[in-house]
Amino acid sequence: MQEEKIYDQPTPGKRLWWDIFLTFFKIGAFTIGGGYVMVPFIEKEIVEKKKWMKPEEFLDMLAIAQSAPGVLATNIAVSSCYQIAGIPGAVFGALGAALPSFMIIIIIAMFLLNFQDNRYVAGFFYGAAPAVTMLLFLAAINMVKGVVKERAGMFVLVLGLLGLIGFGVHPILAILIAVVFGAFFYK
Amino acid sequence: MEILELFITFFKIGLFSFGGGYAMIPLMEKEVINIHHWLSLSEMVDVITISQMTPGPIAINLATFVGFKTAGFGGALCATLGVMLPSFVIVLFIARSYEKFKELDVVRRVFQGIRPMAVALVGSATFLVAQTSLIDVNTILIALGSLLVLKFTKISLMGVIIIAGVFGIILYP
Repeated sequence: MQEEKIYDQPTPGKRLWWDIFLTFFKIGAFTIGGGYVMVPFIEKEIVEKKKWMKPEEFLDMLAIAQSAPGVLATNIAVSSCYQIAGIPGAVFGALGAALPSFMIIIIIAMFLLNFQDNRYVAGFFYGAAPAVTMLLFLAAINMVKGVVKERAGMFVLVLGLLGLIGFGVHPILAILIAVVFGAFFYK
Repeated sequence: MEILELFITFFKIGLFSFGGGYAMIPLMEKEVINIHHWLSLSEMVDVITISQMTPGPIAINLATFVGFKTAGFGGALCATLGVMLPSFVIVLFIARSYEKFKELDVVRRVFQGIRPMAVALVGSATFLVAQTSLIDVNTILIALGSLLVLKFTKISLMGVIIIAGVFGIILYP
């Protein structure tokens, strides 16, 4: 009873679109590391603070975001803001989430393209790249634990690694093979 | 024409990336480096490094950077909108018919197939990046050190990257 009062449908209109834009802009500006890092921040803003949707609705929106291809942060912004304010909401949410990184990267690109040969800049990337490699390595290891529980999954993983690394199979082809495999050989 | 090319390429990247930003790296390599020669592999690794230290998703960061380097501000805009557009449309479509979509058994099975392939893509991304990052004794030592620190301490990802970068400045040949 009380819950229905707390999670009122927000009043539709331009003010709500602007509010959505600013909320996602803020989330986009302060979450470092991309999609998965954003999830708890988005939940806090739109469920706890703004009360635009119920926690269980947010979980559904997260499931939608994860089942589509593309940028996870954009997907979450689109699915949840569509729920809150329709297609305009989705547009404002997605643009708000993307704009901070867009602006920051343009500034860095201007700097980097001028200073690429600087000894300190080059040295920094020389040292940081091995750390990023290990980051990817650990991400892959963690994903193996979470995802590959059965033999069929192990088969796709090994075949995929062999094809992608050993034979230079195009990633789009690899995804399509995985789709066909999933649709026809999984129970 | 370059701008249209950027849009189409990043549209394709957005359409076929499952499993987050890291899984997108092999596709970026094929399209951006091998086919269009917009970046070198080591430049791409630099942008991935920057992505880990700045806000926002890797895919948006890479699209913006590649677009800006290739065709200035307009290029950045086209590449970024291109990478966002496919999922924008698909997510809207799913959100509209979520209740039906949820119950389709084939959807569940397809994702069971895609998930292990996403792991393979991240594995192959590791391999790709290692080719330009692990180039001498110093970088291999930094990698081993980072692995230990990432695994056994609570230092943040960004902290580890910055420390590794400082070691890089000191050891740079």
